[in-house]
Amino acid sequence: MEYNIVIAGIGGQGVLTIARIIGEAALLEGLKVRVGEIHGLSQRFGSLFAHVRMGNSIYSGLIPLGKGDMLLSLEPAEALRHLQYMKKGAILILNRRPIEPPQVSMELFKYPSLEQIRAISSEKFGLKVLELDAREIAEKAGNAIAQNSVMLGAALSAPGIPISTKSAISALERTISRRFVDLNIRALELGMQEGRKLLEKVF
Amino acid sequence: MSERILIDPNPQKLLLLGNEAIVRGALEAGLDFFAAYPGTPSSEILDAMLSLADSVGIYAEVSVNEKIAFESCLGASWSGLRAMTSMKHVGLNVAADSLMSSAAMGTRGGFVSVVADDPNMWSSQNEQDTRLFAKFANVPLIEPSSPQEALDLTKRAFELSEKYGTLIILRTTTRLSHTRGDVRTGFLPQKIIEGKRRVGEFKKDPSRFVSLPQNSRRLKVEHASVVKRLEKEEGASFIELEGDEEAKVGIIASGTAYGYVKEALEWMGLSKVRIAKVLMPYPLPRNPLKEIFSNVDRILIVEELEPVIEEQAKLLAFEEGMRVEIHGKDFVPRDFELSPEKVAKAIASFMKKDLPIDFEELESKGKEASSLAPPVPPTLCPACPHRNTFYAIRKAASPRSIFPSDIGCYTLAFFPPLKTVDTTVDMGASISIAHGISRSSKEEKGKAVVATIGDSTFFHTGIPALANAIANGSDFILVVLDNGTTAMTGHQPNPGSTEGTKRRLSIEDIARAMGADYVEVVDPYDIKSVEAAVRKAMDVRGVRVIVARRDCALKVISDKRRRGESWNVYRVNEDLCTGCKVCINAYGCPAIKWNRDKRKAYIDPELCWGCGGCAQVCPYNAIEVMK
Ligand code: SF4
Ligand code: SF4
Repeated sequence: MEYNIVIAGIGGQGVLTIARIIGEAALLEGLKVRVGEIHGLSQRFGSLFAHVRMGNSIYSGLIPLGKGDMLLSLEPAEALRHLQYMKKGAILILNRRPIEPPQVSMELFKYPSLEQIRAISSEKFGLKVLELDAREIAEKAGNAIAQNSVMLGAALSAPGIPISTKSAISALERTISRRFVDLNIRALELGMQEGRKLLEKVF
Repeated sequence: MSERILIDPNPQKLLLLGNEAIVRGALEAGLDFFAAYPGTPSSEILDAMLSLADSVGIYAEVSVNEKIAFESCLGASWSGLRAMTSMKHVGLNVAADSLMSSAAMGTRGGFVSVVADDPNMWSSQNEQDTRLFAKFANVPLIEPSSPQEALDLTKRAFELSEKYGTLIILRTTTRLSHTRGDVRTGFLPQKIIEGKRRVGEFKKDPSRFVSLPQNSRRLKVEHASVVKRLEKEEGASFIELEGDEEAKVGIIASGTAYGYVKEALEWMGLSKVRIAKVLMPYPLPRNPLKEIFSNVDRILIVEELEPVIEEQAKLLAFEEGMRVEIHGKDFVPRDFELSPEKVAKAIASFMKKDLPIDFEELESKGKEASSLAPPVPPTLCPACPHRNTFYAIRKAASPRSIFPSDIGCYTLAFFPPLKTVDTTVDMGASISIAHGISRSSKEEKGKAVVATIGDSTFFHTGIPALANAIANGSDFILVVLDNGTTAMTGHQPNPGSTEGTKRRLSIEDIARAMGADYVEVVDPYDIKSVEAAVRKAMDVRGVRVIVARRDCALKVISDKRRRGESWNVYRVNEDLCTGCKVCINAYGCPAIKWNRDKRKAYIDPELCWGCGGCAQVCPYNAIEVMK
């Protein structure tokens, strides 16, 4: 067994927190796990990603090209940077909310449309795309800052992911500060519901 | 918050970063003394040591630079304590003088120096291989390939250091330092559990600790024999052999490259291979390798960056007259970080096999897709006081001015729209380069040299450079971007911080005491005052120092968040906004965005940290506090 997830986003969105929670949860499931992170300069509101790997035959923190099972993208355009890591039939969970970088505000670069991102992912790379508005759902849960937990919830709803909700929640409790635990569990649950709904349409 | 798990006395399975595993390994070894200067990818080691020091009874400090950290540890080791320092690869350049000079003097208490290399330069100015330094200084270097080995080998490093009386370098790379993996921890010694601080005692031995030529000549030869003995006696335990014993091809790998090799072989279904994992790249263990050399016909050496193992292996084969064919950098890239696919490609062509996946096709499709994603380089945070400082410098100094800068998050002012970084070399170089430029070009009106340096960098190597500039009658403006912390590496204190120091040093007093020709302290949240200070400084000759002081916004906001406090959020008044884009094209706070349909600016309330800088910058007073 081997299950590989790329988490993509922009520094400050909680990419490393999700990676950490999934990693801890995998440990609770008794799996061998590696989480490849990026720290330092790259975290200052720049593109950021983490690789989470679970299974018996993994020896490194990097997912080989073409071996990813899931791409969890907290920002729509960021997904475009990691598609080559996915295998055909992998799942792309896409947060529909763009964060336009200064280059776009300065009109030096055009931000791609959601249709474009969706089309490339499904037609060129054969991914199954689930799309949601994590911010809206997080606000329903109580606060927009819980967007990453919504995304985590959506990820947990995917078939084949070797993490149970129970271990995800205990990992979350171990990882984030106590004040925000309830909010994030609510967000996670709403994310899961949304994920299941979307999945019914895709599968 | 998570650091507490590192001091659980009982063995258990934890998900640890490579760096955290090193900390645990050092604690299990009974560490007494720790000193370091932060640098990505090594910083988490320092963070954990600082936060745990009191409860485990170790001495831990943030030194002003790596040389000083290294020498402090040397003093502790010579006093019989177990000491450790950690740094990034370029930090070893700063400590190189101490390393080269003390290597042969040896140690008393175990002394381990962790050096984290950064292949691919994720957060660094260059890509250097510390294993070459080990060879240069003739010091044993060991290298883990997983978080578990990071723990085990750190512990082992202390034992070896004490047994042989030599410094041991523990090398990691970004990919190991920042990879989490499942790690089985061991027991903590009683002294750590009880948090009892051990007291050392320096026993004089001038024939060893004074580097006069007569001593150094003797020590050099003695130490060389120690390293040889260590290789002979311990070498076998630093090479792990696996795979098919009958195989005619072999692969030697070390560090993270070992993991890539294992995956590539499984992936391609290749099992007729003998594998050797090297845990001590210098000095390379001879006997176990000779054994492989005599059984296989061809060998591929897979290592990241320089051919350090390869060159030693080839020499070994030559010296032993062995006929094995040894390959390495002719198949494996020498530049940048390795990856599972790069290694798979190298192995496939070495073994004349097909690749499991058409990487070329995937890569080119991937490139095409990525090219549609807008570039998102890291930027100065919202509310960063030094966006204002740079903006003010830009306004005060003509575009023909020259802007030498330095190492820290403020190097990001290189990017548009600020573009106030013309040079960056290494820590402290802003000042010496400004000095060199101002001494070598003729003064012209409107062409000022305005250098920028952060507070931590100022203390690191800025002070001697400033002394040099003043003493040599130089002529430039130095703006010290003081945010009271070492922000880039995760907010470690420095001598100018109010928190985390025993006594706070004042940058302006230092500049005055050195005789700077003009010294002023300004608050960058008041943009006009910075602009005025720079203008005033331009009318003075000599070395002029402006200290722009305001706490790091990232730190202020995370503290506020933790305490549940709120802050002002700004907004653009659409009726007043003319769409001039000054706030975006000249100032560039990442919270300010552009509404293409309305052709007006707007502020993302989630990203605004309430500094009010944009309100000072907007020529139409269109930005105000959100009610
Ligand atoms: S600077 Fe002021 S007027 Fe110009 S775009 Fe920004 S908010 Fe609008
Ligand atoms: S007040 Fe303006 S400059 Fe400051 S953080 Fe908010 S949007 Fe950015």
